[in-house]
Amino acid sequence: MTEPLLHIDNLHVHFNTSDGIVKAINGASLTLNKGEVVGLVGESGSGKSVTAMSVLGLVPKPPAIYPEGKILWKGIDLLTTPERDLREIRGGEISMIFQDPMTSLNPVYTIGHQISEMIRVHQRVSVKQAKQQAIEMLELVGVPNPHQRVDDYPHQFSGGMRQRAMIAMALSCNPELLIADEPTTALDVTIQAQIIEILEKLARERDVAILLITHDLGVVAGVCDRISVMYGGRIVEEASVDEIFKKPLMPYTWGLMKSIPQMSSGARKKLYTIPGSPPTPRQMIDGCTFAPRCEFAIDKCFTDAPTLENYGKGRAARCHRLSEPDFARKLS
Amino acid sequence: MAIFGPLMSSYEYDELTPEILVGPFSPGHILGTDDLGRDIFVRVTNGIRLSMTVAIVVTLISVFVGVALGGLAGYFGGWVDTIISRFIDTWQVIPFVLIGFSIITVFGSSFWVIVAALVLTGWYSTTRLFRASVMQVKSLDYVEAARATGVPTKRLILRHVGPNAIPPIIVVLAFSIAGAILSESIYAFLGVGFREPTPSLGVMISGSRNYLVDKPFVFFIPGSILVMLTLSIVLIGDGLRDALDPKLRGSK
Amino acid sequence: MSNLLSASGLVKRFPIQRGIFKRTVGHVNAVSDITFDIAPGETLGLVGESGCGKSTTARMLMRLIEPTAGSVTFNGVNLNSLSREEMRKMRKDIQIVFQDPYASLNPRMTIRQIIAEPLLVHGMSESDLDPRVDEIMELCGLAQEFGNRYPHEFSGGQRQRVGIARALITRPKLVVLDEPVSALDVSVQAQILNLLDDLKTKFDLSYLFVAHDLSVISHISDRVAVMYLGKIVEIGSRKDIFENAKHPYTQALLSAVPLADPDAERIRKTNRIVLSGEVPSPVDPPSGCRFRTRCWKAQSKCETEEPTLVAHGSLSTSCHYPN
Repeated sequence: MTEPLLHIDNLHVHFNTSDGIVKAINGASLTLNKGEVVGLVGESGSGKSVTAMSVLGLVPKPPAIYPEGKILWKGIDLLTTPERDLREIRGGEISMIFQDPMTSLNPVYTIGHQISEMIRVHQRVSVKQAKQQAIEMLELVGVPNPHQRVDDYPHQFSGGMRQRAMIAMALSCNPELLIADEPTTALDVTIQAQIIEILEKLARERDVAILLITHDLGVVAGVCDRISVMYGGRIVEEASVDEIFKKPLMPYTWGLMKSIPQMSSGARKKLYTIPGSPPTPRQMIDGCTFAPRCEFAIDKCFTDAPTLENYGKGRAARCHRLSEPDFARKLS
Repeated sequence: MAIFGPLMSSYEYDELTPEILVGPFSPGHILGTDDLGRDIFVRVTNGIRLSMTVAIVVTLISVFVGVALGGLAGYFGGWVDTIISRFIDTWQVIPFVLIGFSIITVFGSSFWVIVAALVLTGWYSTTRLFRASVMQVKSLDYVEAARATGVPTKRLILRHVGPNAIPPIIVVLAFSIAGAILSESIYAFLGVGFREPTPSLGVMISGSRNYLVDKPFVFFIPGSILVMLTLSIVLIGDGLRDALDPKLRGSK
Repeated sequence: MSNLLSASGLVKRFPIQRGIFKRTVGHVNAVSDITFDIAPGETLGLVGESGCGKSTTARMLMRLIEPTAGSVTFNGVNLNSLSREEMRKMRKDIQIVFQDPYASLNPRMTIRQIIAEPLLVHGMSESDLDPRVDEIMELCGLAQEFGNRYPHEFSGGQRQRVGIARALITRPKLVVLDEPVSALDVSVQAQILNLLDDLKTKFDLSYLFVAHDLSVISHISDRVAVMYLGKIVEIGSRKDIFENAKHPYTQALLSAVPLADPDAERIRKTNRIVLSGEVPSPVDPPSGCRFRTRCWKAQSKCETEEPTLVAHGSLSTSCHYPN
């Protein structure tokens, strides 16, 4: 069993605010192996973006504090790595793309310049060579006329094209891990399909591991091998993509699956709903963070926080009631 | 304090006390006397009153015009906006500061002339700002929602656009007042605005020029008063805007 | 059975103005010749991607945006012939719910004030307001004690409930919903969709539901209209569209929607239609059929002749070579 590429181990992230300490993440663990596509799924306030940004040290350190936990990249703890070394890793070994390509690209430099800049930070090549590589990257991600478009500015690209340019930039130095934070949320459905196709192709062909962060369960169903579900600052379930959709163990995951409208023309059913709203980081309680909304909650759920237990290979869930023999079956 | 100034001292502002010339902190004169033996405390407090009165009147007039014209331009857009905006653009080009000086020179440096001169140079920035604020608020969803509900124009302006367009400019208003105070002082300092014996802070600063070396307090007192006055107005404006923001009012 | 609302030949062109004297240098053809009906008690889903003109169309139905051409008939009355004051009075019968729960509520009004306002402006006296406000708040799942709080104190889902309460308090006949759940979390989305369903039955409403999410559209609509670059390319019953779509764009759209089902996704991946190219600019739409630049079936006829909506039973398609 090869060593995992990325291992987030019991991550805790707290924020020092004027109202006191906000515990945004309370014990998140995640593993990623080479060439795997893992989805990190959660709604607003779950902490998925903070987790992703923490990997690359992109969360400003005050106000963020990391009281516990490690982020191991090939065995090295990124949380204790000095900034100088982190910069080498960023782009070179781990790359990130974001939701809104308009604000993530610098409007006053051409796309070619930005990609070349990225290349030259990590490799000793001339300006001309870097530009050539940039053109090749643009071609790889499917930008038509790359020789011309390499000299265009971001505002001259459409949303889908900009996202492709971001992917080109992110992959230009052959990273081993790509973190994609809601890459398709701002895009139209038909463009989204194109982008997912590119991401998938790149993952398979170039053996790049992808950590895909999103709230869109449809997107993860199509492209991920494994999924981790995050709620209230903790990972609450982890499983292969089939298991998550067909046999969820944790009541939140189960409820979520049932409340998605299915695209069909069959008879209409009422959607199952989880009452209430996802908690904000300020509303975390001592027990299970999902207890206030859970239809299966018992007293224990409100006082004791459940731990993440293993239920088979690569399968884990965080729920007290799973220790009862019949419970899992009740959910199906 | 400034409002009650003249009542706090037994002296008139231009009364001379010939036997005590240029002495700091002598008995009976809290802040000392200036070059002509006049009590500085009295003069300073009167100066504050004067500056504030001028500034407030100027700002009120500017705001009145600004809200009216800026509001019309911002809310109705179209040719109304074009006419008002071009008018502002043209006005800005004309050097009203110099024209203001000329007006004062011609018509004398009485209160209303100075107010007029300051208004001429100040009214259009308020107008522009309010116009921008109105245009921004008008484009927000809740204004469209109100229109969709059938809210008539008058109520739209008074209940939806107005209350949300004004707060952002309150801090600007405070700066306006502070700016007017400074302008008036500068005019006085240059000899164009208020003149002796009127106790404008600018006049006092100007008059202290001869004494800077040996009796610096004659300069520092009105100078620091001017700074503190301006600063306190700005801070009040800031606090006022925070107080009016409902987001900071409710419990969370 | 007569229709509640009939939109006929709606067109909207936005002028593009340049220069100091605001010369008009071109037009954005947001909506070009849209015609459709909504029957009483029906939900018509209007679906399309960004820039297709669905939001503009929705707003033209209520004259929040004035059409460049075309007319809207509501309950037998031609809305475009009404004076401003007459139109204002009509507004209690056609209401709208907006997409962004954070921008659609006046931050300086309390929840009760926001919800009560429509009744006030349509003539109800202040003393009669309370029971109506209480009633609608309860129906929308808003606790009474929320009434005196301000919008910023609530979550997105709750604010959207306020928006819905505000829209329904005058008992309108038609409610236009412009992407009402797009900005909400998945678990909250389900609550709001159920709420809209319940209210529709309770008050016998008709909905025009604008969205880009096909799963949501399929869940809530009776009939669906698909828009592309300002035109309706296909319109039919829910079954027609989701089972027998004939227009290539509709097919591509259906194929592109990611499904929350790994098995289904695996099957689709082998035959997913991925459109090439990008949406052309509405300033200069393609001649003939507007979809031809991305269509795999395009032929010379598509460039020269613009297709019109042709009925195939209950489904109408605008294509020279439908399936």
